[in-house]
Order: sequence, then structure tokens, then C-alpha cells
Amino acid sequence: MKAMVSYITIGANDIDQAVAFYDAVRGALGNQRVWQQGTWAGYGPEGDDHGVILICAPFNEEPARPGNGVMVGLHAENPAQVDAFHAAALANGGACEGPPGPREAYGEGYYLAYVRDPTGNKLSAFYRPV
Amino acid sequence: MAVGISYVTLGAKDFDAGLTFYDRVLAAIGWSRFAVHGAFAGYGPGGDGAGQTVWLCSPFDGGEASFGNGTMLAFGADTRAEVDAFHAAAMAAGATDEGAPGPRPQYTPDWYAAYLRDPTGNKLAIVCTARQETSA
Repeated sequence: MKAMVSYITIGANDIDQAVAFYDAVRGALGNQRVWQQGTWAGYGPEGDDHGVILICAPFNEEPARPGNGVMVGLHAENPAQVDAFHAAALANGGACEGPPGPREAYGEGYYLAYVRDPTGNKLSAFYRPV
Repeated sequence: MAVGISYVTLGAKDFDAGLTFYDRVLAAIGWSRFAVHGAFAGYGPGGDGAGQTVWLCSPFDGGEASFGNGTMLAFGADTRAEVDAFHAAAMAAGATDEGAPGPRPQYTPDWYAAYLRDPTGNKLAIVCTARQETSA
């Protein structure tokens, strides 16, 4: 297998608020919180003890801040998961950056939604037919 | 494999300079650029857009690209030599060092990683977690 993305960290200023948000949105997409320690929390599939999405207070101890141009696209198994992701985000302190729906301009059958987490980090949920 | 991540976008303040940087650095782990759509360039391990991808972009809102504080994208390396090569390629292409290649046993016993920032300031890691034989 070729090397892949190993993980990504996303900054959070309030870990409790972030965990409430990511528990809901990752849950909608079939991942879960696999560990939490202090101001860090890891999300991954069951059995992954490291996690692939790590929420953290920044290493340099300065406030967390979103990057412009930075977005994490999260895998969805079907359009219904995209809908559930978006609803979970808005119900847990997230902001809408694009409602769930087809994005045929990007590819046939593509279905996405875009949100920002409570810190302002941009996320999408991405479904495409296999 | 990072199950759950389909793709990640990173902003570039200078898109063309960003292409040069990522062409050189990602080649160290066998990734290549497979597409350019306007100011979006896609990179992936298979060279065809299958599986996970990373997109370098000029931001969607037309504003200047910036890096997130707390945001770091970690690439997986198959070998420790790939970690060294990735870091060396990055430094030669204009990166800022954030941590030289080496073991980080405080994370996990086999953790071998390097850390750097791209020309825009996005923080990257390159990590090999392959089990090492115990040396005498």
C-alpha cells in the first residue's frame, strides 16, 4: 500500500465545546472519539487507538485559528450521511457554508455539504458513487 | 490509512510556488500531481485521483491564503528513509524547519517523524510508524 494521509490536527480553543461538536459530526459519519487527554481528543474508526482527526489546543499555546484555504473533506458512505453530518454540525455550534446537495460541477453523482466548526475550521462531508 | 478523510485542501499564497514545492516534496513519498482545475491542484498516491487526495488551492473566498493555528497535516511514510527524504526535499524547496527527522518515542515506541512549514506557513508532518528491529 502506498503511503497515505496519516492524520490531521484541527485546533480548538474550547476542547469541551469542540468535543461536543466532533462527537456529533463524526458520529454522523460512522467514526467515534477513541481517546481524550487534556486538551486533545482523537477520532477514528473502531479499533484505531491513535485516531485520524485529532482535535487540539495548539502546540505553541497561542489561540487556535482557522486557515484560509484549509478544509478537511470527510468521507460519507451515502447522501443521507451527508445530510446527517450537516444537521449535526448546525445543532452543535457549527455554521453552514453550503447546504447538503448535489455538486455535479465537481463530478457525476457528487453530494456534499460544507460547515465550519465552533473555532471556524472548514469541513465538508463528501459522497461520491464508487 | 486515515479512514474517514477523503481529502484535505491547503491554501497557497503563491499558487505557482506552491506547485513547485509540493511537486518536489510529495515525490519523496511517491505522490504526484494528477490534476489542475483552475487554482486547485490535486495530489495523490496513485497519480490518478483514486483514494485520498490533497489539494493545493487559492482560497475559495478570493482572500489571501493563511495557515490555521492548531492545524497540521501528517503524511504517512513507509520507511524512515522516506521521512528523511521528505524533510530534506522540503528544506531545499523553501520550507521552515519545525522539527528534524528523528524518533519521538514519547508518542509511540516506533514513532519517527519530521515537522516543517510550507512557504505559506501550513504545518506538515511526515511520520513513519513501522516497527523497527531492536539493534544490538
